[in-house]
Amino acid sequence: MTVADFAIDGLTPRESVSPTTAEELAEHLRDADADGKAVAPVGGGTQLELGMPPARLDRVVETTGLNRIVEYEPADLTVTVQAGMRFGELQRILGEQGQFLALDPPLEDAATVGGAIATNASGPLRFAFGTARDLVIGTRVANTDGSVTHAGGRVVKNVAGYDLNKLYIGSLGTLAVIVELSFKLAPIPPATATVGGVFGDAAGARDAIAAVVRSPLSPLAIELLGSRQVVFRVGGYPQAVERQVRDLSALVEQHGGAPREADWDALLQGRVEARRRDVVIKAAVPISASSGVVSALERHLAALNPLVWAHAGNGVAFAACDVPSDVEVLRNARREVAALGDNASLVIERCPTPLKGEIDVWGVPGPSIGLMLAIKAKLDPKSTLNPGRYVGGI
Amino acid sequence: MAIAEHTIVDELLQLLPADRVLWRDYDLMLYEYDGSIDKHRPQAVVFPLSSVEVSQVVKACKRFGVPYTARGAGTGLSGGAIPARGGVLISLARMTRILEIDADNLRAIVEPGVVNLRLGQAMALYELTYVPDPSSQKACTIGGNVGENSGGPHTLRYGVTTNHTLGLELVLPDGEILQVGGTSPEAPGYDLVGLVVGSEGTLGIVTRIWVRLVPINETVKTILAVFANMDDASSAVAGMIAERIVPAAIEMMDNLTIRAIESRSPAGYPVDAEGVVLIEVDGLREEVEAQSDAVQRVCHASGALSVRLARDEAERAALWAGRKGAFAAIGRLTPDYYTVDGVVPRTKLPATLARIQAISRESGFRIANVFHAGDGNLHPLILWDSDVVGAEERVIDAGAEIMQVCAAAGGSLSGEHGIGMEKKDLMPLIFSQADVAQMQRIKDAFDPDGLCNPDKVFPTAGRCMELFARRGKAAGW
Repeated sequence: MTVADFAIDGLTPRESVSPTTAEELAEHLRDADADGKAVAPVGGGTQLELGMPPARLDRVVETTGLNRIVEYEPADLTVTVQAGMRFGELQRILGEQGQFLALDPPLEDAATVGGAIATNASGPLRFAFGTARDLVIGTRVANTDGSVTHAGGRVVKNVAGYDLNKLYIGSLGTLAVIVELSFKLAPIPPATATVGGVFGDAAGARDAIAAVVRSPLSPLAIELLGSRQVVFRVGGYPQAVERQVRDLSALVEQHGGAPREADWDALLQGRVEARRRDVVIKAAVPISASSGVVSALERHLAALNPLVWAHAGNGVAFAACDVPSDVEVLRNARREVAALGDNASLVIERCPTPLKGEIDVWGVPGPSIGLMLAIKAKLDPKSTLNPGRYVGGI
Repeated sequence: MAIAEHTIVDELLQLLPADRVLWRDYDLMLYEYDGSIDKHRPQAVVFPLSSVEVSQVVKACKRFGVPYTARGAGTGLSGGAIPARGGVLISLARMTRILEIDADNLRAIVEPGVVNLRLGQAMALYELTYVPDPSSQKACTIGGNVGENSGGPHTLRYGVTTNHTLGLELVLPDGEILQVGGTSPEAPGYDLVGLVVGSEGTLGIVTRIWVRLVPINETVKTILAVFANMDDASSAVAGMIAERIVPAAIEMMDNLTIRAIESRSPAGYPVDAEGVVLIEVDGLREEVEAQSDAVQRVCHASGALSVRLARDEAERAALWAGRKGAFAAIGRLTPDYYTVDGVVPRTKLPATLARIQAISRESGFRIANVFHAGDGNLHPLILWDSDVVGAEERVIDAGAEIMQVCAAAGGSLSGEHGIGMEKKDLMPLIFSQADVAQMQRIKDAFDPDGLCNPDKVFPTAGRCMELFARRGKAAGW
């Protein structure tokens, strides 16, 4: 690979390094920091378009040289892995033992474990298993002062010291570079099934989902495709799976829906492809506004050939669409999402660089930005790591 | 000078009505301890009723350069609510309102003084529940749970407090009132909610909490398995994980604990058993049936002397009452007991229990074991008598030895009780100086004056240098 392959928003780094140990990686950070160089940590390079354009970029530090399993004891249901391992490779290794990391983000094959966590990527399974914050039990990071530090550990329950894991998850490499992660794992369900339904209007789909969310039924995922089609994923013992299929199908009918075949793997693959569109948007709203946010995104982006879907049991919706000629379209969508509930937000996860000159992809930061800036100033005082790419200009 | 006569206490009396400020020595004595061994008396205790009042108190403390510590019900076991350096104790015990129940969004907003069990009960009307259920749930508060990131038996499957906290209102050390997180599932920026939960009240004072609710399970089954020795009991736990079963709870008790429980308020545990394991499976009827069968099979295969499925709700409640009342039952056997909290990888349970037995023999203290076996969270209870001269030092040493065993097994110093005052000087057992320095940077970002619950979590400067040095590079993590 050449440095041009690591260009971020049109900015090409002068050099790239690919260390093979955490300590070596930390030395690169320390040297860059001392020389006033800006560093972008890069895993598989599959999500480099996330965030604002870098204010500066001198050196790319690749994590893909750190790609080992550090410790995997299946009977403990935990794994410790280096950050540069491919996400799919980790799942393959765990799968051999009948286990998996219950995180299913729609990422390209090249994506790394560290990249998935640094971007807080998630997928439909978050309804049952949560997101990275619920699955990461330990981190090791390289800091700009050259130190390698850890937080948490390898046990599933741990309250010793500050939970810095939470801080690193989704921080886009702006505080430290994740070099190693420990996860709690789940057994692969013995049986799974998919239940789909299509409704005459958005209200039917919305009410069916609301009924499931409040019921003792426990699907693994509740997906909304557009505003009228729902897909439930269930897993567990065969007899429990049968029961859920029966009850969910009945529930769809009760709310005026018609059964609709759904292929789960095709749905997931479709998401990966959708995320290659020019613009990808994520909205987060209260659970009960899931249907409302899908309708709002469909309406606002109607002229842009949009594909809209939601993790409807969570209040997280996505839209993939063409580039708008007028950025006001995105601003309006953001305003409407913000009105859907307490701390609702809209993030533009992917768009052409020029658009980033007209709109902040993260939105205007809330009142907690002061604390975030204070944390950034303590952990990366010279703004060596990914300067300018994160929330509020961090 | 007249102005020097105006102290923090006078200031507090101006800010709050006199009946919500304690300053007489006699009143303060009640607030010098929590559920741990340590003690320290505050200079004053205040009972604010709102985040604005908390903010006023914090600002006053900042002006006077006086440290302050938040306190819920005072049931903490690591000294988190002890005013280690004196100053003002801010009791949140009167901020007890459930402000909003938003069933459609599976959320509630509560004040920090709401008692854990009361929250669960209030949700029952909506067929929802709040999951974390520490054994002290009849008394402990949600605010305290957030401070310590408390767990409980059912965290094996459902996670601890941090997994059920969506937002917080905080009074920061500069007095600012700030909301982080909220009803929506995520927002751009650092996860400050995740950082603050479990920070033991050292980063600010939580005045409002957005909690996650879940629908009540359709079916619950509780199984009691009796074993001739703790090794068999441990292998049953490992067997369940290997069989891909993740029950809602797996609790283990040893013979000393069983006898204590049965002599106080019988729960139906056989008194001659060396170990009993209490397993709960919940969810859909069909899932529970299948899991319950699998659990019973694994227990028999691991050599269980008997395996009993609770027939009805009354029997189920009795089995749990025994477990939840275990600490109190131990209290009847001994003038004092010291609750140790440590974690090891699940596969290290048998070896760790054997080491704890050895520590019991060597130290001469009886040690009872009652713990969350499913997630490797041990609670050895060291029985001792505080009237015996020199005993306190020896009992603390025995606890520290157990911590060393946990650390050496690749575990942690605390699964749910926190570091507090109790274990701060043991931090070097699992953290390097650089690790602690990284945490200190966070503390400094929030609390540059160092007045917010000082002398907690972080090792005492100097005292632990020796430990850091001894630990060296070899320990890893």
